[in-house]
Amino acid sequence: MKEGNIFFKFAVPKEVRFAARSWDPAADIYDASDGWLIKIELPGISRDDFEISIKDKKLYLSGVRRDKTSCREGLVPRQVEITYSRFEKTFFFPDEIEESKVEYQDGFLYIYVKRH
Amino acid sequence: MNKQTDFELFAQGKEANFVCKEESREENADSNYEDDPEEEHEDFVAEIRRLLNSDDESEKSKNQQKEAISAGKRLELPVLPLRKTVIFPEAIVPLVVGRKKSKAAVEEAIGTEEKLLVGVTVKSEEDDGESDASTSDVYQVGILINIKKFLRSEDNIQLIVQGIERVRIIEWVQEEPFLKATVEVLPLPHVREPEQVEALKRNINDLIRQAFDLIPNMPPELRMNILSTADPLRLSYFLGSVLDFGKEQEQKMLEAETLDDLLMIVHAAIAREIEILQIRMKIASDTQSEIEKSQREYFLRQQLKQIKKELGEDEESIEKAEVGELRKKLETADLPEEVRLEAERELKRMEKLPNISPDYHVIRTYLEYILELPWNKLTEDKLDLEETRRILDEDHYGLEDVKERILEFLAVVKLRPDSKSPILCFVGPPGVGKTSLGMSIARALGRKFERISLGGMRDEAELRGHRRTYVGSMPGRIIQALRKCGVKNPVLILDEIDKLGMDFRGDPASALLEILDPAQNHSFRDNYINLPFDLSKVFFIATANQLSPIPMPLRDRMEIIQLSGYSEAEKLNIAKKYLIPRQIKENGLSVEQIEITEDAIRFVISSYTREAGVRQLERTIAKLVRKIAFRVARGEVSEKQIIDIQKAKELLGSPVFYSEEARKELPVGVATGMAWTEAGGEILFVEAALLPGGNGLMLTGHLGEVMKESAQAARSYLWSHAKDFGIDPELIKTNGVHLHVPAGAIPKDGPSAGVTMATALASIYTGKKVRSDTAMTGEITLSGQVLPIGGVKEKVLAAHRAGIKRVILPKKNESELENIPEDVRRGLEFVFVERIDDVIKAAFQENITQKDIQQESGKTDGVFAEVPSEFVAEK
Repeated sequence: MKEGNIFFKFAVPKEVRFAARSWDPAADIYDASDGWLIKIELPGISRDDFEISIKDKKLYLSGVRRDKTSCREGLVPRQVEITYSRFEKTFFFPDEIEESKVEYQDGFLYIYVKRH
Repeated sequence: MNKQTDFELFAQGKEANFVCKEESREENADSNYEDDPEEEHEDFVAEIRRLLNSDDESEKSKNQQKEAISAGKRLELPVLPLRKTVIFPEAIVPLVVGRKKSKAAVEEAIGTEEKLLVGVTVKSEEDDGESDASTSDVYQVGILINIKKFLRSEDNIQLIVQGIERVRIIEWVQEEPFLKATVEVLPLPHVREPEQVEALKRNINDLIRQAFDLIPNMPPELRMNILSTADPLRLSYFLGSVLDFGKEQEQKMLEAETLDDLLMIVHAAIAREIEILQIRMKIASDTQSEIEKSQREYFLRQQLKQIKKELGEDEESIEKAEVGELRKKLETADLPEEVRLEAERELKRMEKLPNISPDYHVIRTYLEYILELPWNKLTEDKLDLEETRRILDEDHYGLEDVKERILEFLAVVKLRPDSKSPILCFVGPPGVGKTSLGMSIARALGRKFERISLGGMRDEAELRGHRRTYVGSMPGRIIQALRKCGVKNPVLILDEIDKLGMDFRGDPASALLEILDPAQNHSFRDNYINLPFDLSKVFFIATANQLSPIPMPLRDRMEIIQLSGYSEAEKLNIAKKYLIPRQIKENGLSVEQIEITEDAIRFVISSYTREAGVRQLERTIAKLVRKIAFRVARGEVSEKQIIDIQKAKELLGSPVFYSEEARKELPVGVATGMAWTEAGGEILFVEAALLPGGNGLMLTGHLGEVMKESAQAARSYLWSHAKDFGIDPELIKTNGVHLHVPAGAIPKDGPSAGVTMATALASIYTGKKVRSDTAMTGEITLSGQVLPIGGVKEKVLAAHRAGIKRVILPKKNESELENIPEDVRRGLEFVFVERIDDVIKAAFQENITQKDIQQESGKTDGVFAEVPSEFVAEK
């Protein structure tokens, strides 16, 4: 853990805010013949609420899971344990990456990443 | 960079690639509900489903922010006042919300899609109970928080929240029913001076490491977490939330605009924390070591106690054992009633005392002493008179009257067993066997023997003990001796009683008065014991060389037995019977190897010793035997060594003493006298000389007053009766006379030389010689009487030894001749006289004035006729 790294982290192009770190959805990564598959546990997320961007060997995922239930008239929360929060994840790859496809099924977000 | 743009577009849902459709999600949801149809709740379920699926977005959802939260962004959110804490970004904090307004704010937040609200810390220190905080009570900078868990219970709401972003309150939107404000997200604290940040960062890391050493029970995960946090910002916020820096400091940290400022505050706060920790540690370790020391000591003492207990040695049990032992002894001991009562009283006192008390030991020693004393213990006397006689004879030659006295005593004891023991005092010259006679008496009687030397003793307390109040007090010598021999009827020798000292400290002789008085000593009270002890069964024997230094009252209490010196014949016998066999044995020889002839013994006695006793004789014989033993040991001789006079001279060297011997012829004016000395008797010569033209009497030779006076008496008598002796009175008148007694260095005193001096004077005045074979003794009076004198035996023995043939003695001493050994008596002619005239008559060679004397004294011829015929030696 070199102390110099701190500043590098602050220097990443997109400002990483604490708001994004408060929730860290779990993710699996699989090696495939010509790229990778990222599988992220993200149930209850809507299409408008996340964002993916790619730069060189990195993939950024950020978003927010919103609670659509509690804001309905007539439903009053008694216990809330599910995390509704902003999140952000960065994935690093050995090679430059490009072109992908995103699928959402059964609460999992699948991101296909192709080697450049 | 095309790709990125594509993805962004796609992410906003404008790309066909995104397969996750709204419809499909809703279908799934529908099917889920349809799987579980519940007929009776149809309406209820339908209602909820309607609510969930309703498209009309409420106010709350409309307000939700679609964009990412970033610096400068403004939000309108409910505000939760925080009473005690400051929440930092990323910190997860449990909260309990109880106040009405706060609850309302939380309710509002939980009803939104993102569940955000703003936490701001209340400024005031005191927790003012139930009242809700107003807008003016809180800091302007707060924190955007996300509710992670929400649980409603009876009175309050329990929350777990996580801090997200620092915010500043821009404007209050409402105060009722809950606080609501427009807030602006603040930028992250920026780095002003990278070097300073770096330095502070390093310092903080050092301080953290220091702090780890000081906190003993730091969870390792926490340690890891802190050390692995490289980002100084996150680290600062983390430390702020785990450590308690105080609300104000923490608020300042939250408000810090630059990383520099933030780190400064953290650094100062941690440094202070560490200082406090160090002080706490020091206090803790100080008290700990203090406690440890005393605990260790206590622990060891307890162990020691336990060990001692195991060994039966603990103080209590020792004490008990001692008291118990003494009690047991006391019960079994044979004690007089008075003693028992006193001992029991002391024992009770001792029981009550702790054994560290000095009195405890004093009493213990006292009790032990009392219990060891022979209060009622006696040895049985051997009452066989014949056996006793045999033992006495075996140990000592001669000493007939002593032996007789012992036998008499035994005879009395035999007839009357409770008779008191006698108190004897042996007076005699050194070496005659006084002490050994005491031992021999003890042996003959079958009693224990103990000896107390009184020589030089000056303190009465030595005899009678010190009072128990004194430190180091102990009983007197009498009681000590009795304890040592363990019976109450031993033979106790009080040696050298004539050499008792006396000074300001006391007079031991006076103490002896009580001890030696048969009428008092049955209840002798020692100062230490302080109980009456019966001394009446003790056979006291005192010994002394001279009678005169013994105080009269003391002398009066004892039966004096004189042991005079031994005669040559007695010494010869003693040497043959005791000394020579003993020396032969002690020098490792046997009677087959050495023999000393009788002549040689005589020669040794006369030429090498001059004493009344036999010590010197024994030493001289020892020397002889030793020299033979030396030769035997060196193998120089093998046959039996016979020591005759010649050999004795050869071995011992030239004779040491030449005793005054009778001279063949005495000149005019010289007479032979006899004197008593401590070493026995001696003959001495008195010389007289006329001093023509002088007058008076000159006396020399270290004479005492008494002797000088008797010399004057002698001269006066001759002067007044000058005619009777055929002396011209003019001769006496016109001439002075000088009397000298040789051996001038030796002091001489006593009246017994009176007749000798009278004879010497008569010789010088008449010009006739005195018979050289005649020695004389006797005190004279001015009227011409001859008075008896002491020490007859010694004097006669000395005269005999010196070769005198005739001895002139006062008539009154005639009876004492019995004491003189037979052989001596036979070798001497005795003349007993009553008047000076008789002395003169007997002393001179020719009967010079026989006629005159006859006329004057009116006596018939032949003084010799008065001498009992049996005393006239037959040559």
